[in-house]
Amino acid sequence: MTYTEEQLEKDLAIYKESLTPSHADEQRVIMSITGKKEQMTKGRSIAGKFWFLAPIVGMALLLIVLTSQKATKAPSALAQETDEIVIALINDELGEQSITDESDADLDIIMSDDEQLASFTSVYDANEY
Amino acid sequence: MGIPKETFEELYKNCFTPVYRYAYARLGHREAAEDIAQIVFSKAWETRDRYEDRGKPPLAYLFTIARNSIIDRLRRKEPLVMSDIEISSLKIQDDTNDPARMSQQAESSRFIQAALADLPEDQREAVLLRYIADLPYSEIADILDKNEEAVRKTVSRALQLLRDKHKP
Repeated sequence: MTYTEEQLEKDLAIYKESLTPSHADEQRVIMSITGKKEQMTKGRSIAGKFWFLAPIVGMALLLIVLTSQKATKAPSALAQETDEIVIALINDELGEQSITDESDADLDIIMSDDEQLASFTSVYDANEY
Repeated sequence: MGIPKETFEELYKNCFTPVYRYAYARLGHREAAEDIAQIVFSKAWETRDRYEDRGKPPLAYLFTIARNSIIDRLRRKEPLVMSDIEISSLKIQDDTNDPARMSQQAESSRFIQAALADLPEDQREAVLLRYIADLPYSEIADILDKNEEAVRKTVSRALQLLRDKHKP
């Protein structure tokens, strides 16, 4: 049995019908188009009504930005200063300690040298006499 | 001057289904067809005042937008191939509600879907515009920027290929 052009056209018609949108499909598209338009119109009307507020809003935003910059800068500078003082204090403390330790150590050595010298001298003196 | 609002509404009523079917057949997905239909009518509405500059009749103008939107979508994304689920969910309308007849029609739809997918691009497009969108040859020629005779020949060659693919 040959597949006639008539049969093919009939099958194409069946296929076409199978692609028909449902009422819900059509409604969704209409809603998305009209919804988009409403949104655009709403946006424009709001902007149109309150256009005179634009400079005030701009100034307020500028003030907010400037204030927030200041607020963030001041504590950081203070913190830096505090850190520097703390570091200086720690260094001083450590410095003194190290000096003390060093002098003590030197003293120990000196004392032990003296002792050695004294003992050597006493031995030498004993031999001399 | 552009398209008057009343003409646009008339166009929407008459063209929504053909545009949707054409997009559905080309992209193979119901949601994608909805997206294309939405783009077509939104663009047509937004540019209705300037539409005469395009030098095409309204129907050809809508299908040109549809065609370009589909090409754009296919370029951006992987070509959408109709899945088995999508094929089985194709709506088969039959007033008799005869299961055997509905099954036969579903089989025919599956064959056409698969055979169309194998056609060369220009032939597939011409057949879809002629038999799925139901456009006259003169409008198809406008959309494809070809002369009417060339479109007729392309469709004729495509139909022959479709018939050759059918195995009883």
